[in-house]
Amino acid sequence: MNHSTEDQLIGYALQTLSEEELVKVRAHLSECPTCAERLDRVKSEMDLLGSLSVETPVVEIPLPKRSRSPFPALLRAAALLLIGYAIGYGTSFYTRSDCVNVVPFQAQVGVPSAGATFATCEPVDLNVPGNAGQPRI
Amino acid sequence: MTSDWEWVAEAARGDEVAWRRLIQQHYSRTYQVALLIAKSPQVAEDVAQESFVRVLKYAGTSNRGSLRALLSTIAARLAIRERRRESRFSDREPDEVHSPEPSALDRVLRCERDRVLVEIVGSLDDAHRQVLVLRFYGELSYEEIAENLQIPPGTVKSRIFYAVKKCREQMRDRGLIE
Repeated sequence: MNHSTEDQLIGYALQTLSEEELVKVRAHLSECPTCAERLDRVKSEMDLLGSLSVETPVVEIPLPKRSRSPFPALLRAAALLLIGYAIGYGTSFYTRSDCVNVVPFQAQVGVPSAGATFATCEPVDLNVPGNAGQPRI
Repeated sequence: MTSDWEWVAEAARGDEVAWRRLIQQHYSRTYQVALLIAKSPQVAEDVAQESFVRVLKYAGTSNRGSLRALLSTIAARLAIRERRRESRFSDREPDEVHSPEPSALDRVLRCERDRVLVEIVGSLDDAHRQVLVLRFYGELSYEEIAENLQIPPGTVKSRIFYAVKKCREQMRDRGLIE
């Protein structure tokens, strides 16, 4: 008669055996007092492993405070966004919206120092009709 | 009779009595799970408290399983996270058990045998220790462990088998069993 292995007995005690193996081991245990006794020992060892008891401290855990607002956080964020938009839109009626005139920049190029070879040219006045589109100098 | 989840719902609405009842009912087990993983009473206390606070977020949700299983799983996860965090900042194991001075851990253990058991369970790697502690101390079924840790039931079974086998070897080496 082949006795059950240690692994089979642990697996049996833990109920982790496959169905096929479970049937085989169960059949053997029913007719082998030696293995039945070994199984009892394995079970008592497991009981010992799970028998640890610790002094649990007495604790007072404060109940977390509930949010008083009836609105969930997402709704509150959306409401804030809407209020902000409404304020911005409302105040826009009271601000000046006149056009701003921007005077074009006019550059001056002086006389080059001695030895320079490029030619001078007249500054372009961009305010003069017809000069629009001229490159700035 | 009021169920655990009904107490949670009451506590989430601000009922102090329901809150205290939950703690009275489940604190000890949750603390023990955290202690066996974190190996530090202070960390275990913090983790157990945080687990209760977190469980309130599950009030009103469906398919939550048992509260006992959820609390143990949250505690195990938080304890592992704390343990990893501590080991990143220190070369020493939290609550080193070989110190000549009685450690904080010694103060909550009742006898030498329990101290050895903590060492043995603590010597397992995170994955195996978590499953062993949830099964033996959280009293979760294999299905509950699989569901809460989101791993296949077959993996749970193979991990628990390996963990028990390893622990038995060490229990024999340390003279706890013949």
